[in-house]
Amino acid sequence: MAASGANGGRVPSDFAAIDDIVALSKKVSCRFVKSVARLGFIDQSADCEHVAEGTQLELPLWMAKTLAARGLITVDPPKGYNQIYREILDADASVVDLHKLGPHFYAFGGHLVAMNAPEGEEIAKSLVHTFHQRLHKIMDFSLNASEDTPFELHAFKNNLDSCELELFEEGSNCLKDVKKWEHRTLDQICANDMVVSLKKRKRAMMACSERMATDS
Amino acid sequence: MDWCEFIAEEEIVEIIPNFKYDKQLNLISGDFGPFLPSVPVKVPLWLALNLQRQHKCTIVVPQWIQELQRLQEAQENSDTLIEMPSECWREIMHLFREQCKSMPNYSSLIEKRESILKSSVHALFRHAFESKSLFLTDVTLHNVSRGELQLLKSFVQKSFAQFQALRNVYVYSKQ
Amino acid sequence: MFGEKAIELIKDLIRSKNEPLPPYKASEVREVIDEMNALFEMNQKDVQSQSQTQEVESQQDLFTVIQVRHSALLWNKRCLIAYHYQRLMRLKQLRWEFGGVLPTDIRNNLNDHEVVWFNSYCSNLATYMSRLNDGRGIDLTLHMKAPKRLYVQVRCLLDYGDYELEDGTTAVLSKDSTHYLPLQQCEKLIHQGILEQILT
Repeated sequence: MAASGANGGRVPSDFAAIDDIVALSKKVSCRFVKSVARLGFIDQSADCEHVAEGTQLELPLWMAKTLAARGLITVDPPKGYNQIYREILDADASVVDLHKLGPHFYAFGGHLVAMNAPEGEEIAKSLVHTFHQRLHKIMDFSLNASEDTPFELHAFKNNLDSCELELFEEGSNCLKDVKKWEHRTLDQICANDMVVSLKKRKRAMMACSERMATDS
Repeated sequence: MDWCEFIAEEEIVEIIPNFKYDKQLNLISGDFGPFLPSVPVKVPLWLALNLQRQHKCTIVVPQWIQELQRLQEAQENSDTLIEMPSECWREIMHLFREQCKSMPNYSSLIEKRESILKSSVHALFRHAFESKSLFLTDVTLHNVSRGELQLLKSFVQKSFAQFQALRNVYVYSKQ
Repeated sequence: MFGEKAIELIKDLIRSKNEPLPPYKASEVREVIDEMNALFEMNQKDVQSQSQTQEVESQQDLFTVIQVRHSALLWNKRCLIAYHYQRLMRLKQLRWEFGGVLPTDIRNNLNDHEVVWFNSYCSNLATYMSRLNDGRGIDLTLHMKAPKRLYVQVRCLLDYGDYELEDGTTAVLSKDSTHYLPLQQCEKLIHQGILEQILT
């Protein structure tokens, strides 16, 4: 998720990273600062051949990057990255629902900065600040056994960005492993995860078809 | 964690056998024996546990486990991690707990050390956040053992990588 | 809009995160490739016509049009590669979890090329594992956890039938029967969900 502009022609290591691709497919609001002849095909709502100066369009980030590199558009920082939101995040990032704003809040923000969007430096600063503020809480929640507050935990998890959620899962898996070791269940050799999940699905499907058979 | 325990099982302990085997055992980690009834002999922990399960010996509880209370108090009075007598103290204690019923309770020792470790990670993130450059120096943590790190290691590694990536974006934006 | 079908493939991967391997989306992949061909042809035509236009201004615009289409092409390509790559990674994992023979309901979800890839991955892995340990071979899918004991108590979860052990004796693995077996020889059956270890 490093600034992709910085690594020149090399194929980035996250080329096949799903989260990065999904972040790039999200739409941003763009305004054309020049008119471009015969580019009308990117605006499906209007049936014109050309795109006029001042046209406002919602374009996927990957396309906006191409147009911005040619200096043809300016990008409005979307909700979550504009000044109002930056101030909210600055004040207390832990209460903001990044899943709703993202769910690839950081990856998307990183691309915005990489394409030299206006206020890029402020956005980048806000990303670092937001992540730092929230990281402490993510660590506390994931590395401390808190089975007594499942509701709170659930609400907390629902607010996380996809990369934060990944970190959270990592932490709680480590905790689970240590707990298992303490309770001596780690030695048990188990069926492989996929085998178990396939079995479960089969059982669910069988139950379903049985129910259908009795219904009919 | 199972691998930490596996490594800990190589630690040498003293046992008092109640059987006779007057040859040496030539193991990868060294030669052990001969075994004579009531004569203390040093063996790897895994062998000791195995023999004890077959009622062929009693394990001599290491000196430091008997001094656990003292260690626990010393840790309680310290803000940093104190040096533990063995690199695998937690794993060894865990293995011993299953054998000896009379193990002192050491959960507060674990808890205290865990909380020191966690706050040092918090401090590390704060340090990275306040640091102007991407390169961080002077990050040291003394007296932490392998088993204790298991809880934090991969979480810290992954979140730090993510944090540095974002910091890198910030550095890029200033150019 | 360009690129929208391609992202659907990626979303399919996300939706199926908890399944072993979802069905291959052959017609969707076809559509993305068709879109790419169309984009390529349009660009080809524009590049050829470009030599006839004289004005700098309209030439600039033409370049933009070509580049936007080109970035759509690259985008589709990236999605296609990611889709196939991630599927291969899951397939690879399936080899480690199920062994060389996949359950039929998973096998049906593969496309022909994936079947070929899976078979050659299996044989590569088999060749590699047989070369280890001075040519005597090691099964790397076993011993994933640190060894603790030589024999384990197991319960059979389904009617499996006779199972011959290395010492020549046969264990009759019928549902709910319990056995005391060398870990070495029954670990694979535990992984495959046929046996279950009983902790004592």
